[in-house]
Amino acid sequence: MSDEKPQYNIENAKSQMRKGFLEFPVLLIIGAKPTYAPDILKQLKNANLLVVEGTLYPLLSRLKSSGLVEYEWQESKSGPPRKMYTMTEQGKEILQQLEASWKSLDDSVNTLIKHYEKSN
Amino acid sequence: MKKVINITIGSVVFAIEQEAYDILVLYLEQIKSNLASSDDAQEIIEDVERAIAEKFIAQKKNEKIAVTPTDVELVISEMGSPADFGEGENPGERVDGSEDTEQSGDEPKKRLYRDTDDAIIAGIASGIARYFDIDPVIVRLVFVISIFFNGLGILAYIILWLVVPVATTTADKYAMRGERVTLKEITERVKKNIKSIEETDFETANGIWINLRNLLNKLFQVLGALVKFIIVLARYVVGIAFIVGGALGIAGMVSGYSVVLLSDKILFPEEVQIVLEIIQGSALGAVVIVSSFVALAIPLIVLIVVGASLLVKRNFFTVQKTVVLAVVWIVAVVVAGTTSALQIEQVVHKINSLERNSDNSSMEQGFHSWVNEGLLSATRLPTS
Repeated sequence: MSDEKPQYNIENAKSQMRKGFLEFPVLLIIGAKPTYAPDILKQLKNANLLVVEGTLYPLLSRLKSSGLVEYEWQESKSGPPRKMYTMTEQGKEILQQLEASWKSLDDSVNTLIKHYEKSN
Repeated sequence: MKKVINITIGSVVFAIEQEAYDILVLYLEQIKSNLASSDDAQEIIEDVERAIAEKFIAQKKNEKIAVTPTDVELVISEMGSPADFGEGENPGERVDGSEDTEQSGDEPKKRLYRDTDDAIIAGIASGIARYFDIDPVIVRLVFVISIFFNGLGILAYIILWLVVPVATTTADKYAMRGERVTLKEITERVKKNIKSIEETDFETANGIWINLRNLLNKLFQVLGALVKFIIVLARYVVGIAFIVGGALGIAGMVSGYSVVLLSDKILFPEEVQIVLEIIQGSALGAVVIVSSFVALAIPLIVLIVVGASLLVKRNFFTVQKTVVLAVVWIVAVVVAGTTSALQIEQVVHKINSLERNSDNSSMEQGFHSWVNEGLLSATRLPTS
């Protein structure tokens, strides 16, 4: 093995950024109204938050096991039963906190971006 | 013509082509290994399976219209690569790259497997050849030559046979070749005929070598057939010997125990009679008899079952049975050991007290005989 510096992997960084951040949008979608996983995907894609499905299932499972969301089984006319995800009381509370924190982060980052763009 | 199998995924039945099935299984396996750190891996896998089922339904597949490799590839491209399923929380775990060969640029890890697709006996030579990227013929030649050095080759072969696993899944076969397991490569491999790839590997070799190689290959085929025949023969002989030996042993034990315990003891020497009297007379003695019987019978039963396993080439030892037998046997041995130790104490005690008595009586007897003989000789003297 060589001692080369590992190259900065921009694709990996982007995907990490999106993954870490994805919980919030998913909570927003479920918070708006109870949803199935395929609909969550559709809404994420519509919001230009491109994700592959693979990232969503571990995330939903994590949200469920930390008690932010819960699901009910719904029979489907054709195909396997589906999980209908809804927010728990705890989830709603946390979503509010996340929203506040996001707004303040958004302000700070935007200020920094403006500053950066001006300097260039 | 293609082989189609039925599967249920997300509790929906689909017909699926064998090739497509192999790809799908590999994909799910890779997801599972990426999820290994997650507590809810099983649930996530089920979610994924239901999602895949919905996609197949959307593709209008069912138990009549088979899923093709292309369908599976399409579904996989929508679901994302197995690495996407990894937990995003702790990207630090990925740094070593051992789990995640797809992302790192490291050489794929090669593993030693038995290659039963190209086997003369058990696929060990071809497995080693794969591992070192050489012609299996060379490895076979080395094995055959090494037999003449105190049979070292045979011993090595047997050990490897026991230790090295068979490459069964497509992923194993990839690891054996040291190729990276990516879905792209798998699909490519599935499309091509594996045999044709193997044969082109050695096309560059020159004519003499090809002829020699063919000759050696034929020789090894014959040798392999012979060895296989000997192995089968040995299997039957040993199997039958084990069954017969075990059965005779048990029969001998049963008759031995019943003769000793049930018959009149007149035939035995006096000391043995005393011991038996003590053993049969007490509750502790009954425990000695039963536990020693069990302790002796279990190894014989094991011998019979091993023999039967060898004969029908099926392992009759489940983990459960083995554990139960082992526990019963150990308990029996311990019980037999402790109880008979206690009994021996009693026996020794009794024999000592008897000996003291018999010492006295034998002295008296000796005295009598001495007196008698003396008298006899005295009476005889005058007549001579």
